[in-house]
Amino acid sequence: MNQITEILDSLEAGDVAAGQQLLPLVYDELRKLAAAKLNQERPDHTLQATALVHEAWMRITDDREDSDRRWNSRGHFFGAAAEAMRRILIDHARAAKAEKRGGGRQPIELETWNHPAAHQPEKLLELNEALDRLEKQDAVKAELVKLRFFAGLTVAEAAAALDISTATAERYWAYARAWLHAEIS
Amino acid sequence: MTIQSEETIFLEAIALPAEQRAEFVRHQCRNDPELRRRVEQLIAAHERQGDILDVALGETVIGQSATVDAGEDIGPYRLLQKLGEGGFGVVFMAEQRHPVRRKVALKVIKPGMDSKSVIARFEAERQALAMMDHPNIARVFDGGSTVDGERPYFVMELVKGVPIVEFCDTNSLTTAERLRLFISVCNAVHHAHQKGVIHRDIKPSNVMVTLHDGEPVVKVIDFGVAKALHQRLTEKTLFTQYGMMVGTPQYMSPEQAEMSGLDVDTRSDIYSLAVLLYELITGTTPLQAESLRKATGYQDLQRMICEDEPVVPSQRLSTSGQQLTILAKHRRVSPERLPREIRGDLDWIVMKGLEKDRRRRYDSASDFAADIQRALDLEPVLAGPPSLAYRLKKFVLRNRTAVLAVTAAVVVLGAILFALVDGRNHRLARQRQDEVRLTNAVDEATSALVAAVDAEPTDDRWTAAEFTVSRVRELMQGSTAGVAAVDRARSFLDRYELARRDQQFTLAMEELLINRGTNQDLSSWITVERELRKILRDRGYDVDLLSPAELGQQVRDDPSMLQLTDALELWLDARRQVAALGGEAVSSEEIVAWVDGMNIADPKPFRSALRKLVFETVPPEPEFLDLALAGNDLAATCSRKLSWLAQAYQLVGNNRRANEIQAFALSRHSGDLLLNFEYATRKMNEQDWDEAIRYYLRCTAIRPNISGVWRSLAEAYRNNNETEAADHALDVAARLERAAQ
Repeated sequence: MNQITEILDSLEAGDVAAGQQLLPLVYDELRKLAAAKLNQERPDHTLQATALVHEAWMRITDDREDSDRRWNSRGHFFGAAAEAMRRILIDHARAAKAEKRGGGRQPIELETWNHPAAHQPEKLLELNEALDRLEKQDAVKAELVKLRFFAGLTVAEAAAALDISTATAERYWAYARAWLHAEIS
Repeated sequence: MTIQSEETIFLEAIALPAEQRAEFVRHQCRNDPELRRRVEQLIAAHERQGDILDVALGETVIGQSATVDAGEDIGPYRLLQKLGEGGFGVVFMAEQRHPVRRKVALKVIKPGMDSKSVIARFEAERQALAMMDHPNIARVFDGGSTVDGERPYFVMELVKGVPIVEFCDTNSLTTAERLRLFISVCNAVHHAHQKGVIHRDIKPSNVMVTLHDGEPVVKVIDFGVAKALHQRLTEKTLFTQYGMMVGTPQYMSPEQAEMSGLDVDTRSDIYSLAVLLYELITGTTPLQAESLRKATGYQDLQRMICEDEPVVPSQRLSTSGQQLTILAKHRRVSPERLPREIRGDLDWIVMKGLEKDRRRRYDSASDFAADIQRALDLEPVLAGPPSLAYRLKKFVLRNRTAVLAVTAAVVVLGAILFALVDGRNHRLARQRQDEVRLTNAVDEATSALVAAVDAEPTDDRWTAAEFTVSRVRELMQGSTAGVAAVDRARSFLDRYELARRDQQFTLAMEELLINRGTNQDLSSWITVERELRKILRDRGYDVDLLSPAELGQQVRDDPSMLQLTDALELWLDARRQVAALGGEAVSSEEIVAWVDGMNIADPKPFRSALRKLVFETVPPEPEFLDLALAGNDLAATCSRKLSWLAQAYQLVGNNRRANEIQAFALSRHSGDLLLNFEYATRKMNEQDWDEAIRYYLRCTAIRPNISGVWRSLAEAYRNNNETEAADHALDVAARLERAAQ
């Protein structure tokens, strides 16, 4: 946790290279958090991706008093969290597909995370590939989709994380959504 | 920059009404067919819903419009304008032309959202609403499916009003007027609770006030997240996939905020009602929006809701500074008087509703309302500390002129006397109050029981009845009510126990037949036969000790005669199955004896004839059946006997008639588990997987905790090549079996 805070601080200080280390840490953090949550809850409890990401964010910011800096590093964190969630989901979808063909075990019981897309591995992988293509064409829109779809942010939250206006985010979203749907249909 | 212009044209197009888009795009792309194809493709994708992104984000997709639109017709309704959009449904104002001309609200499932679980949830909302019949709750008129896509919709009363807080402020209602309005909100919520429905999202925007002949009338709306009390497992396994924090933080009870999802009951609504009352009185909610905004995350929010003690209303008012002048003006009193109006009774009442521990809140919305009425009538309220000084003060208030007329010396003497008299009066008043309450509770519970007995054994009405009965039990303890009232309550409780026992009996039988009977092999049938024998023995009818004739005579006088003969028939049938599969034989004489025994218990000609036919103690001749059927009202026949009747027709070789009877039985008793199950199983045998799945799903909705149903469902799914769904169903079955061990 402290490591994440440190990296966020370095990023704020302008050390762009520090961003490289953020993702694996956030990835681990989210999975640890999910495992801990699943253990302490009732066995049938379901975990929301959104709640998970928000809670991870809260735990990080608990140590940090300075609210201005908190807001500034928010975008970095959610970006990393969205990417981490994406990887977790994609790993899961690949494993689910492999399992159908008689492959190995699933890495983590993602159904219990309650991400609605976890039940449709094929579609998820398709979307992921389309998202890669969108990223090459328009990185901001792809980032917006990741924040909304994987980290569960609202349009307003995602707009804040990307530092664009809500109205712009809404237009970007409408276009990106149609674009992706046209790609995968 | 093709991308840029493609995006611009697309965004401009979707800002237009749907019917103008095509023309716009044609015009914009007139020189570039490739661009036009691209934009058209995007718009089509934009208008389509239910793709993976939408599924994940269900509720927050921006800029989409349902393809059902204003101007279209659904059944006899013409859609006029869109009123709102929720996670899965869109609400339209619509005009009905037949049989009466009126404006209604029509809620239809969004296209692409019509997965089985969404439909089930939508259906649950419709059923919850349809169960209720109260002037302060928006009524459901009709329901159906659209012709094209089989999307379900339902039609409700159109509520044109303003949120209650806004109404009170714009009309400058006094505190007393606000309280009166609030009492009718409580009554509406209480009605829902009696029907087994929890609202779960009570807040000003869901409590509308309309003017009816110049009189304000409250309408509680949006039972969209309401849930019937008992269907927990189904929810957990199927319907919460999209569930987020349900409710609005300011109005959310501590137990709701914990998001365990399992532990919310009617007292959660009491809490939200108290928040609403707080707001009506003070203009702010106990947890103010500003402090909630400061929450650093979900946990912090939860902590605030679960731990922060609210400031009492009168103090909130006194410390509201300049705001107090405005608040007082809206309530037509002076700023000095307003906090004094609230201090005492109303403070206590509100705080009792806001207790973090729900056991300390009011037990019911009607208790809540009754206490407010007491405050209005200047009578002692339940919520306050009932000290002598408090009661004296009330007395003085109620009799202000008389008190002022006596001299100072007399006041001293009088106060002592009054205290004594008041004490005696108080005892009498309490006794009377106890009596009235008990009598009311018994009345309420009786009507709830009557409704439950008419319904299927798993109907919500049983939960509602249980709820009202627990109130009777509670009131019986330490009650000072008179002997007659207590006796009446006792005999009611006895009757309830009896009905409850029958219900449990039916449930046990159903479960047994489905769990074991799904396997048609010898050992399964032996188990069924044994357990039915045991069920009967537990009710005092041992088939090993009593002769068929003896047993028949005893059962005849049992108030649960019909259930018992049902069980006997099933038992005899199981014996026959065992014998047919090579188990212990049963002679035809024995069968005749048992059928005769049952006919002693239940001599009604139609049912006796059926029994003889089903057990083949008479030759299977169509004339015999027709004769038996003559003069019998099928509509009044219970589900089990209709099932036998269908079987009897099959026996005499009239399959068409058998099918008709089965369809009739299902339409008449759509909530009967065994009928649905039998039908589904028949469809399985006919290899009609879709239909089998539909009816097994219905069974899981009727009773979610029978593993046999889930196993059969899994088999149907597997036959239909829906592997994932099959695995899920098997998983549920396995979990249920583990839990049962």
